[in-house]
Amino acid sequence: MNVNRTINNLGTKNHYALYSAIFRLFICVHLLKSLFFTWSYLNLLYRGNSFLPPSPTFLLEIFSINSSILREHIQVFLSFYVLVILFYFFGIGKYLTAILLCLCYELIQRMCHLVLNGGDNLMKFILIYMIFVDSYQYFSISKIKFKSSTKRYLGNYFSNVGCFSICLHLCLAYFISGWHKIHADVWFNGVATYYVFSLERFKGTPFNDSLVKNGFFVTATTYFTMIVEIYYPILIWFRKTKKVVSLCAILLHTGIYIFMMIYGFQLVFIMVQGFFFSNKQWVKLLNKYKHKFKMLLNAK
Amino acid sequence: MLDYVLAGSINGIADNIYEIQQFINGENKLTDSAKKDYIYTQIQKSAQFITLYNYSFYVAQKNNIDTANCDIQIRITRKYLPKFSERLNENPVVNEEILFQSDRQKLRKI
Repeated sequence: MNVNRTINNLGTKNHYALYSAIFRLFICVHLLKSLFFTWSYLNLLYRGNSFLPPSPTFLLEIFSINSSILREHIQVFLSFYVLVILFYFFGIGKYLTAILLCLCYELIQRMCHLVLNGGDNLMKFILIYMIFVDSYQYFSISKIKFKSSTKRYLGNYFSNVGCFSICLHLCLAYFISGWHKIHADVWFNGVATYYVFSLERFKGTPFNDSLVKNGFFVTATTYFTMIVEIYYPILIWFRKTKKVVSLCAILLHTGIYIFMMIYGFQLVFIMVQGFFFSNKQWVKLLNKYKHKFKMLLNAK
Repeated sequence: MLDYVLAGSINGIADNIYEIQQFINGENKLTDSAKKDYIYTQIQKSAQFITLYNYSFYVAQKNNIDTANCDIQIRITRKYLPKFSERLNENPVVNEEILFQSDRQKLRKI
């Protein structure tokens, strides 16, 4: 009975209306930022005329189009990509823009897979889920107007399922990561962060060298990481533990962001945490800040 | 960005070696040398290896090295960090092992 009620509930209203809109804006800013940082390396990464060998995109090859055309006109393609991102930001074109963005992102990833990380991987799936999400109720030029109650029901249903899939995907990512860590000696014995922090590539701060010499710090951070990843997929679904677990995950990712210099990756994981909180909580928070902002304006 | 590309290539090669080893370990018909040859052939065909190879050519050109008369051999080594128990040791023993060593080839762009 409860399952039936939950399934029916999915279509009654958009449970993630506000946060999905916030997340849509984040996606756009994140993608534009990534593009900005890679812009000066276009020749190296995408043209295929430098030392990186060009690889097929598969997507274009399905339609018998050689991906070298895309490489030759990479600036045209990226200009189109920027336009799609801007359209998505303002909610123009709605679902169609979401599909286009997903396809463009897939093409870009396929063109240069050597520079991808876990955040890019998660983002790829998020963009697929976001195709189904009605994130246009807030911060959009116009809202989606459903012509019938059935269409509204289906729209809400797929939107909620899309957001729920993002949550499930995050839980799965944590679970798989935690599962592998349990089976690795360095994690099981509580010394893994010593090896990670000692790698030159991940020395985010000048304090990393001193921190890894501290046995307590190394053991605490190793087990903290493992415990968060293993218990997160379970405890995040309970109201009482949700806030604590989410806060721990944010702390973990902030730590990785600062100490290991893995930036975009961590931001994506931190932002996804917001999907676990109800629309009511987000609306309340937004109204609170709106009220504060108005008070501030009136005081001036 | 260059760091991402090179580190991605080297880590990719290490992962590929592991995956190919896992794949062919069950093949009882293959001799050890045949397995080794198979790994070498597969790695030297991979995009990650070609990236490193082409990068060497690019560096040589940038430094005005006569590439026509140069040979190249890529060697990837794994340098182990001192053990956690030796973290306070000022002069720890650091082991290094060869993970992959390519054939000697003419330096050119693939």
